[in-house]
Amino acid sequence: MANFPHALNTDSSSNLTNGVWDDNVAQWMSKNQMYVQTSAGIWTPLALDASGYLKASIKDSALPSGAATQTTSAAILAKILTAPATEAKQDTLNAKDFATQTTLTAILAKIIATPATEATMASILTQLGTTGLKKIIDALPAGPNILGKIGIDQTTPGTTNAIAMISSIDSIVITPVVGVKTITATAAEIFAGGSVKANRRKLIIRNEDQALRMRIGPSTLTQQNGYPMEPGATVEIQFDPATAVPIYAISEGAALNAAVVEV
Amino acid sequence: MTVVITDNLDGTTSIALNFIDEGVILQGETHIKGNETAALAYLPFFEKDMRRNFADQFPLPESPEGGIEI
Repeated sequence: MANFPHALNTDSSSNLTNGVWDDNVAQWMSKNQMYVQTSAGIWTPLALDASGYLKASIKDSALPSGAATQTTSAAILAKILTAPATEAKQDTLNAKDFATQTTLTAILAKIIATPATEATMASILTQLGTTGLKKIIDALPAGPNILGKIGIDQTTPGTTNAIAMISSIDSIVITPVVGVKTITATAAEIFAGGSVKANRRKLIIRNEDQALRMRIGPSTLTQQNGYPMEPGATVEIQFDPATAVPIYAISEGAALNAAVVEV
Repeated sequence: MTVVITDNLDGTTSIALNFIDEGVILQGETHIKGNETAALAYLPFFEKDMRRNFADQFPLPESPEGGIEI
């Protein structure tokens, strides 16, 4: 016969009651086992989980209205990055001074419709050296062109510094015009042909008189203020072909002849 | 020969000659210091120079009929 070191449990009338001693709570406990009947009519004991909570299965229960299915949940999961940004990182981004829609619209308005592609820019880049443009492919346009200071390589005189002169003010590029002009006491334009040669580069005048002096100059020329040309003297004047500049001549005395060449 | 004289209103006067009426396709133009009077004074010299410098374009003067007495 078993002996218990604890007094038997009694009710308020000192009658003994059913009970089982529980060491966990150190008391006589009246314990009950609850059963529920399944839909198949089978009685099944209710059970607790490891935490002492009543187990309940919702396996056969319908999802509440609006609840996401497994398929939907899986689709959402697939869209979530493997390592999404932490809240701290998002707070850091949130603290940045982002451009407003208005500002972005203003920037968009300044971008041309068809900006150069990366390939085009890369092509341009290949045309540039590390220190800037190195190649001039197109010829300079006709007419005066200011090139600025030009250096000539003197490393090998006659070779590295060779310059090929295509044409100059001294070069004859068209048939010259020659003639004899009568120089009188009336200041008149001096030229070789019927009128001043177009694109005249050079004018050569020789006073062919043996005794009289003549003068040359602008249209304000007089017998006193022009540049004097002694008998037999020759004067050579160069011109910019693109700029017509009239030269007048006058005799200091009677009419005389002057030989004229225009190039 | 036709002549056109134009006052340029800048102290110079233009003289334009045309020999087309003589059957010669030749024109000349020059400017002189002064007014129309000065231009008319210079005109004979300009004409002479034109005829001298472009003599190859003008017809040669006809030789007098008959022989030359030596």
